[in-house]
Amino acid sequence: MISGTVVWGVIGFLLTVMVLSYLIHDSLFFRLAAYLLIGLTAGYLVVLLVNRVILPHLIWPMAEASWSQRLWLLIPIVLGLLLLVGQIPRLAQLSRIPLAYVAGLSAAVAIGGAVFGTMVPQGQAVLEAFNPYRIYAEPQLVWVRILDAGVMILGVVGTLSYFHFGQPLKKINRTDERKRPKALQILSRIGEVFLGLTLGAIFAGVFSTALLALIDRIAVLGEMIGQFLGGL
Amino acid sequence: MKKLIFAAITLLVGLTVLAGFFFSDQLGPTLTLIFEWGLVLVAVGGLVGMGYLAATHIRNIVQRKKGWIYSAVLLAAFLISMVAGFTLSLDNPFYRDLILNVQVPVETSLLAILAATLLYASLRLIRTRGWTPLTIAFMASAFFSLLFDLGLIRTASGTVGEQVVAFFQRLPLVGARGVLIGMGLGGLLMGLRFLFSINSSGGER
Amino acid sequence: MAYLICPECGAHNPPEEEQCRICQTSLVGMEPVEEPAPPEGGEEELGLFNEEENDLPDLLQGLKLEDIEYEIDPEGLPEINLDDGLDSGEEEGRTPEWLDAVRKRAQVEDDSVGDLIKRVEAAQESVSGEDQEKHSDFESWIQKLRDEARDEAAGNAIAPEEPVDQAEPDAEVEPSKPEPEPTPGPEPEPGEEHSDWLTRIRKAHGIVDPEEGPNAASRSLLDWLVALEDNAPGEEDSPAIRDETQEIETGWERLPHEDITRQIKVVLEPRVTPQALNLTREESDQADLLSTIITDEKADHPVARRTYKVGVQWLNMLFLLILVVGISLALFTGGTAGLAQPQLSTGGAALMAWVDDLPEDADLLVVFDYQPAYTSEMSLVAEPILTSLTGWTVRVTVASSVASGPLLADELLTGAGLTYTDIGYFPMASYGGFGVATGLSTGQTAPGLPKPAQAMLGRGYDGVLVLSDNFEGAQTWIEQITARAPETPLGVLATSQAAPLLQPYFESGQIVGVLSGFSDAVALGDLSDSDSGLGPRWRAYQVGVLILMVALILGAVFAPAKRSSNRQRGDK
Repeated sequence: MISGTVVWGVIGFLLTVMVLSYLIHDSLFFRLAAYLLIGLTAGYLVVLLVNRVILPHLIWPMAEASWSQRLWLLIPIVLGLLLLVGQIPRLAQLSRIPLAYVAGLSAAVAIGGAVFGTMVPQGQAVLEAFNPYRIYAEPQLVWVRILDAGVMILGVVGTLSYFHFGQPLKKINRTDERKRPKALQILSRIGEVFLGLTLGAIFAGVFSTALLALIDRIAVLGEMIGQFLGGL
Repeated sequence: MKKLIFAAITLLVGLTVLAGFFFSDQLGPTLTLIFEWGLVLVAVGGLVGMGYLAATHIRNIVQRKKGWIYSAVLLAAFLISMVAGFTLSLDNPFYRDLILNVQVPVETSLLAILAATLLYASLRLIRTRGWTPLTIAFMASAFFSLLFDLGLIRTASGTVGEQVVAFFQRLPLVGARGVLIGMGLGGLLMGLRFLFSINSSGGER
Repeated sequence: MAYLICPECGAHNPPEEEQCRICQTSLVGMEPVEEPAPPEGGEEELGLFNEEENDLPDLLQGLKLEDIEYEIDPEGLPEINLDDGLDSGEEEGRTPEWLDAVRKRAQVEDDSVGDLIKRVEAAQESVSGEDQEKHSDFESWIQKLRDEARDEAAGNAIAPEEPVDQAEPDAEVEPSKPEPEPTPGPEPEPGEEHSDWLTRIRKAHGIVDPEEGPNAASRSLLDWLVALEDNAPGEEDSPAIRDETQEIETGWERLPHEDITRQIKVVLEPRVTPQALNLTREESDQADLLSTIITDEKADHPVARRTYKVGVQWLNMLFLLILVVGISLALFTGGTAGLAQPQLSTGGAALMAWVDDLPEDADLLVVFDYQPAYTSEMSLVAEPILTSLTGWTVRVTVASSVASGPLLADELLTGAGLTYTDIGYFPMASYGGFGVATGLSTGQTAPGLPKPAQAMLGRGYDGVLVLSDNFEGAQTWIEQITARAPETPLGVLATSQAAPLLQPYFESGQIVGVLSGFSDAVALGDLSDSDSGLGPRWRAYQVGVLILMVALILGAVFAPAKRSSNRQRGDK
C-alpha cells in the first residue's frame, strides 16, 4: 500500500519538474502545470467563499435569525442579487449600486489607512528624529543622531521630490524636470540616490526569497531522487 | 440622475467610514454593519469572477480556440476541486493535502524560476540601464544588503563600528520612508477621486 | 463716379447698393471708392491693351466682374453675362478697375482663383520695378507668361509678342524690361477685338482654343490660368516657334462683335455644412478610450518573447548551472556549518522580546497573509515564535486574508502543536484589517450582526501577529490597526522581500518588531541552540548569494561605459 505521503511526494516531484522545465524552454508541461494550478485554486476559492463567507454570514443567519435581524440581512441580499443580475448585459446598470457601495467603502478604508496609518506616523517619525531628548539621550552618539536626522529628512524630501510629490505621472515628462526650480532638481537627484538604495535592498530581499524557494525545490527533488534510488 | 445616485451611495458610505476614524465609539456598530455588508458583496463579486473564468474557458473549448486543451485541463481541475470541496468540506485532511500538494510545488517552483531571472538581470543591470546614480546606488545597496545578510560583517556591540554599520544599514530605510509617504499621498488622492467619483477616463474633470 | 467694391468678390457695385450683386455680401459700412483720375497723356503706346475693353477676351473680361448681371437660371446656378458695355468706364492708360478689384480679392481670398491671382501678382511684382505703371506690370506679366511658354515648348524661344500691327522683327523681349511700346495700329474691327496675344499664348501652350473646345463657352478664367500653369505643350501641339514675330491667328477675329459676349456659367457649389457634433471633453475621452479598448480586445496578443542572442543565452545557462550545482553541492555534501552565522536584526530581537513578555494566557490573533509559494520561508521564520508559545495557555485565534490561509494555518499551527480558533476568511486584506480594528477600537457590534461576524469583530486581543509574504498585505493590517487601535501591539513575521519597506514602521514604533527572512530564522536558531536542520540550507543559501554578488560585480565590470541608445532590451 503506497502511503499518501509517497503519492503526494511523487505528484510534487512531477509538478516541480514540469514547472522548472521553463528554465530550459517554455514547454507544454509548464503550461499544463500552470493551468492545473489555476483551475484547482479557482475551484477551491469558490468552496471557500461559499463555506466561509456566504453561508455563515448570509444564508444561515437568514434561516436562524429573528425577523428584525433578517431585515438587516435583506440589504446585503438585495445588493448581492443586484450584483448577480447586473451580469445580464441589459441590466448592467443594476450592478453599479453594489459596486458604488464597495467603491465607497474601499476608498474610505484606503484614505483612512493612508492618512492615519502611514502619512501621519511616518511624518512624525521624521520630525521625531530632531527631538533633542532623543538626540542627547546618549551623549557619545549626539553627532551620529544629528547626522541620522539630517540624512533622514534630506532623503525623505528628496525621494518625494523625485516622485514630484505625488503628482500624476502622466503629466510629467522630461521637459518638466528642467522647468523645475534648481533646488527641487537637486533634491530630486538626491532622492534618486536614496531610492536606488531602497530598491537595491528590496532586490536583495526578493532574490533571497526566490533563492530559498529554489533551494527548497532542489532539496525536495534531491530527496525524492534519493528515496527512489534508495528504493531501488 | 443615475450617476448622481451612484455617486451619492459612494459618498454616503465613504463619509460614514471616514467619520468612524474620528467617532469610533459612536459609529462602531454602524461600521460593523457596513463592514459585514461589504464582506458579503466582495464574496459575491468573487463568485461572479470565478463564473466569468469558467465561462471564458468553456467558450474556448466550445469554439476550439487555440490552446483549448489547456482550458479543458483548467476546467477539469476546477470541477474536481469544487466538487471535492463541497463533498469533503474544507477541514478534511485529504482535501487540504489535495490543494496544498498542488499549490505549494507549483507556486514554489515558479518563485524558484524568479531566482534564475534575477541572476540574469543582475548580469545585465548596468548594460541595460547604464551608469546612473540610481543604478549605482541600486547595485551598491543590493551588494551590501546581501553582504550584511550573510553575516560576513559582524561588529561588536557598543563600538563605533557597530554605529557605522548601523548607519549604512539604515540608509535604505530613508528611501523606504519617502516611498511610504509618497504611497500614502497617492492612496489619499486616489481614494478621494473614487469617493467623489472623479475618475473619468480623462483623469480630470 | 464712386462705387463700392465688394470685400468678398471684388465686384464693383453702385454706391446705393446694400448687398453685392454677385455674392450677396453685405456692403453696409463700406466706403465708396472714387474712380481714379485718368493719367494725362494716355498711354496709347501700351500695345497690349486697347482703349476698348472689348478687345479683351472673355476670360480677362470675366476678371473685371463689372456690371455683371446676376442671373439665376432655372437650375439655380448663377450665370455671369459679360456685357459689351464693360469697356465704357475704362480709359486708356489707366489700371483697369477690374484689375484693382481682382487684386483686392486675391489679398483676402484663399480660393483657387485668389491663389492663382496671387501668383499672377507675384509674377508681376517679380518682373516689374516700383516705378512702373501698373499697366506696364501687366505687360511684363504677359511677357513673362510668354517666356515661360516659350521655355516649356521644347526649349525654343518664343518670339516676343508683336503688337497688333507691327513690331521690330528681331526685337527680343526681356522679362525685366518693360515691353517696348508698340505703335498703335489701325483700329481693329469689331470682329478682331480679342487680342491675338492671348491666343498665341494658348497655342504656344497647346491649350485648346476656347472657341474650339467642347466647353468652349464655359471655359473660365480659372481653367485658363490653371491650364497655363500646368500644360506643357508637346512638340506636336506647339506651333512652329520661330525666332521672329509672327501673327497668330486666333479665330476670334472672325467672330462678329455680338458673339464675343458669352455667358460663362459659374457654378457655385452648394456649400455643405457638416452637421456639428457637440461633444464634451469627457465624452470624447471616453469614446477614444472605448475605441482603444475595442481595438485592443480584437487585436492579437502574442506572448512577447524576449529573444536573446546565442552568446547571451549560453552565458545565462552557464550561470544558472553554476548556481544549481553550487546549491546542490552545498545541500547534499559536506557538514552543516556555514561560512558565517548571521546576526539577528534589531526588529527580530524586538519581536522576540515582545513575545517573551506576553502573558501566558494571552489572547493572540494570528493573521495568515502569505501564499503557498512562501511556505518554506514562513515556516522557518514562524517556527521559533510559535514554538515559544507552546506550553502556554495562549488562546490563538486565526484569521486569513488569503485564500490558502485556512489550509496553511492548519498545517503550520497543527505542526507546531497549537490549537486555535478560526474566525474566518477576509476576501480583502483591507476589509479584514478594518473589521478587526473596529472590533479592537469599539468592542461593539451591531445588534443584528450574524454570529460569525460578531466573532470576527467583537473581540479584543492582547496582540496581533501578522504573517505576510509581501509588503502590501502587511502594510494594510498595520495601517488599519495603527489608525483605529494604536494601543494594540502588532508584530510582523515576513519574508525577506517585505522587510525593507516594513522597517520604517518598526522604526516609527507602529509595530513592536519584524522578524524577516532566512537569516533571522538562522540567527534565532543559532541563539536558541536548537538543531533545526537549517545548516545545509544555510550553506546553500550563502553559496547562492555569493554567486549573485559575483554576477553583480561581473555585470558592472564588463558593462560598457555608455549605454548604447540603439540597444534594445534583451539584447547583448
